[in-house]
Amino acid sequence: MVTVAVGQMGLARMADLSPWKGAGFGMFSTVDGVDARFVRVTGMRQGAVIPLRLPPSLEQRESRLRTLPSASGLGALADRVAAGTWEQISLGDAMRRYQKQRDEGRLELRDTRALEELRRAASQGSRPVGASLPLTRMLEGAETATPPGEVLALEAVELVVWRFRFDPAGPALRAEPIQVLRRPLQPEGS
Amino acid sequence: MARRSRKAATPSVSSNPEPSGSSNGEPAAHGVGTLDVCAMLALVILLLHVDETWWVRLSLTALAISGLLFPSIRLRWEVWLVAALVVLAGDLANWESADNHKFLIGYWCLAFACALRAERRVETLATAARWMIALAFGLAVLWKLSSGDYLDGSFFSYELLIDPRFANVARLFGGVTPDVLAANAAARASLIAWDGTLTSVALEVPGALRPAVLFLTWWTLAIEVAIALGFALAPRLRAAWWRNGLLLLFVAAVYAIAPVIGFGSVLTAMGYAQCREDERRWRIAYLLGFILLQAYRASWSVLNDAVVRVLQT
Repeated sequence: MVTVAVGQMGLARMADLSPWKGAGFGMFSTVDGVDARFVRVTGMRQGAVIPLRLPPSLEQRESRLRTLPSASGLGALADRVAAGTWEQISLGDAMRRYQKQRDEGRLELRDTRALEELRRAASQGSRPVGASLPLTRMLEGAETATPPGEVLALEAVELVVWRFRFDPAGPALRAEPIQVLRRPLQPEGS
Repeated sequence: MARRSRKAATPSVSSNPEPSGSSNGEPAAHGVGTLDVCAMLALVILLLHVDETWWVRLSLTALAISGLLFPSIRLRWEVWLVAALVVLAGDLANWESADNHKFLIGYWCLAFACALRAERRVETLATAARWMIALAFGLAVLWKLSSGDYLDGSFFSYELLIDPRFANVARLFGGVTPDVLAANAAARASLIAWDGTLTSVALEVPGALRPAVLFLTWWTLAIEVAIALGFALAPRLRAAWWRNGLLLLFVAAVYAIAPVIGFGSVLTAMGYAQCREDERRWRIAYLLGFILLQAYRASWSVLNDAVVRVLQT
């Protein structure tokens, strides 16, 4: 018990392990829990920065990165992101995909939640709906792009693990990057 | 030889040697001995509070039900060794999400296996329980003392302003209305959005928050220090009310707010195990605490809201 706890303290100090995890009993001692960390993934194309939403199949990798950020973990996630086929979609595409999946009986709860989020955002007018809505998704398995979805040819991807802290002077939550990886991608055929 | 003599002279929390003829380390009261009760409490924990991974859940459910049904199984050290290995393997497989108490449950199973191999089983288990409680609280204290955002009140400010588990406490004692809570949760969601570009968001803070933050920060630290010392120094400090009373107070107060019932359950199970033979009332109190926690688990939100309604009237 002591050995594991000492190792956990070392990892927390030197490798940014969240103090809440790793059997060191650091829970409820800091804001810096796993929920205070987040990963942003963006793709670059023709000078534009496109936010990429990680698919469910990469959630555990993302969760591990938030708990213990590492260059190797970030690199492995970047490999998966770079190897994926990314599709730019609109709200209409998302609804068509929902209908299609529902008809085929392979709808996941996650998809209905995502759709509800989109509908709520649209109804509240908190986001511009239509062409400027930056929706992307990674195709999984044998999926093909939903017409008229556009497959994104990315030139580079950037992954950043962020951590926020509570600033009592604000009062505010202020985020800082704790791991950054930018990876240029080889154009197809080169 | 000299070392053995020194050890024998050291006062112990549970100094009752096991009487001969006892099947589980203690004269059976109403047919159930100390080790039996400790084993059953641990089996209930394995049934209700371990990792959700299918192979962990499946194997431990089978093991726990078998142990609860058949007394001969629950006092075999091999069974507890297997339980410890399954719990800890599950924790390692899900290390990024495994809570600290899930490791503590694994350690407790391992302690059980070791105690059942020992000559003085009840006493060995009591010593393990006492040190595990002291260490868990001692490490929690170390983390809090070394964490700048705990000592300056940032941690509890954040929890009261955003964490829905603290919503009732925040509303009762900090003046955090549901609107403020919702606004702060929305601000946090904007900050961490996958397609966001924000690097900071402002929070709404009611004026009455500071006293609640100060109280929670220092009360939590003080009681954790007292419990760690109480259990670490138990052989010298014979005052049972200190360690037992404070641990039960901690469990009752903390797990009423933060529903980490698995942690409370393993603490009360270990609390029961470390009681001396002459501390029967404390044993009953730990048993009641354990049972209440399981009931609390089933209806935490309903009970919590009911308490708030009573306090508000």
